[in-house]
Amino acid sequence: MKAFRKVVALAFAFSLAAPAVSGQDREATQNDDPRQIEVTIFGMACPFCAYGVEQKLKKLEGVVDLEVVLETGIATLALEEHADVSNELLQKTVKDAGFEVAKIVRNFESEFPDFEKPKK
Amino acid sequence: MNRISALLLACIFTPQLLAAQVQSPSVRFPALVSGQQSPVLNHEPVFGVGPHTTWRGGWGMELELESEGGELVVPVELLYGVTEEITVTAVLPFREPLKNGSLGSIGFRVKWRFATIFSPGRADALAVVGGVTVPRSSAGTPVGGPVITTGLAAGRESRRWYYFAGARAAIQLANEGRDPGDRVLLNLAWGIRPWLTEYLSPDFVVMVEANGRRQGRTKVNGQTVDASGGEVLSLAPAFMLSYRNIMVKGGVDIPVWERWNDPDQSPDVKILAALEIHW
Repeated sequence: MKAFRKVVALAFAFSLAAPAVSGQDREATQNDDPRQIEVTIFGMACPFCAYGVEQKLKKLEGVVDLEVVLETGIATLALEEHADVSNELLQKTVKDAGFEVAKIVRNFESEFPDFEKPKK
Repeated sequence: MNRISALLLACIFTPQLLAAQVQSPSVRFPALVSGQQSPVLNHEPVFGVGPHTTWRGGWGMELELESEGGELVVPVELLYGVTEEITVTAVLPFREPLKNGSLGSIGFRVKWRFATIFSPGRADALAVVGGVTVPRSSAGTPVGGPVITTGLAAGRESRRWYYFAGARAAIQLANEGRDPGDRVLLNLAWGIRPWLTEYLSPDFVVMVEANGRRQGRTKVNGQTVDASGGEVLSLAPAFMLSYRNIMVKGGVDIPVWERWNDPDQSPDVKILAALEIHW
């Protein structure tokens, strides 16, 4: 009977511990995800034009990689750990490249809120 | 990439080699003399004008090959984006560089994109253009006074379609009693991207352009020269092939209707090929 109680107690302990372990794993996975900012750009129609966007955004501090998808008009910035770029700077940079920011979304907690251009 | 580079270079130099075989017995005053340098930039009409500007702080260099009436002109253009709305361009053309070449009409242009409407995958823009050209004859000697060009360009650039319209006036200042007459240039262009490719793929656009030109009569010491001036309408199929910041483009401008007062000065078929790099 004592052995049975030990098994039940161990099973109970595992059942309590298991969700906690999964939670830690999920947290660790989230922390391991590279920081990304998705910038939706209006006016970007061709690769030749998008080159200017790439050159400008890649030079921003903390940006380690950039992917541009013309079909969606989205430039995805991969950032260094703990790095961030303000909405204001992103908007100015895209404007300098000759286009307009329509939306900014981050995949991490940031002091800057997500941005969406107001619809007329 | 080496194969692509070889293909691009072949596209550029084949027209040059072909043009070099053609000998022109007459001394001509081609488009460049009257300040009609093709202000070609990015995805814009090859022979006309569009509202496109480059990015702030961006540089661009373009090597063009223009052949008209058997004469080969190689303009080298250097452009800079003062702001994302203002691009300045300096043009240094060389005539017949494979023979006894001479410097052509040196030019300086400014384009101000003053209005834009951006939407997903589309840009509508309006721009004013201006420029000054110091014209030189085929022999490399100055011809008349400076040419001042001003105009307006409108365009819609989208993922699939391109639409452009432009109007320019080139006014050549009189010099030593010779007033070559003003010039009006109109252009309409329509383009299509047959295959929608992604950012890191080659991009191909074909375009059809309609160009009109009216040349005023020349005056010498106040007397109108009857055998001068006229009008011409032309059609030009053109293409653009780009890979990221490198573009090859070309076209053939073919006169389809003309009323020219001096048969010796009547417009010829014009061939243009260009290699453009931005950084």
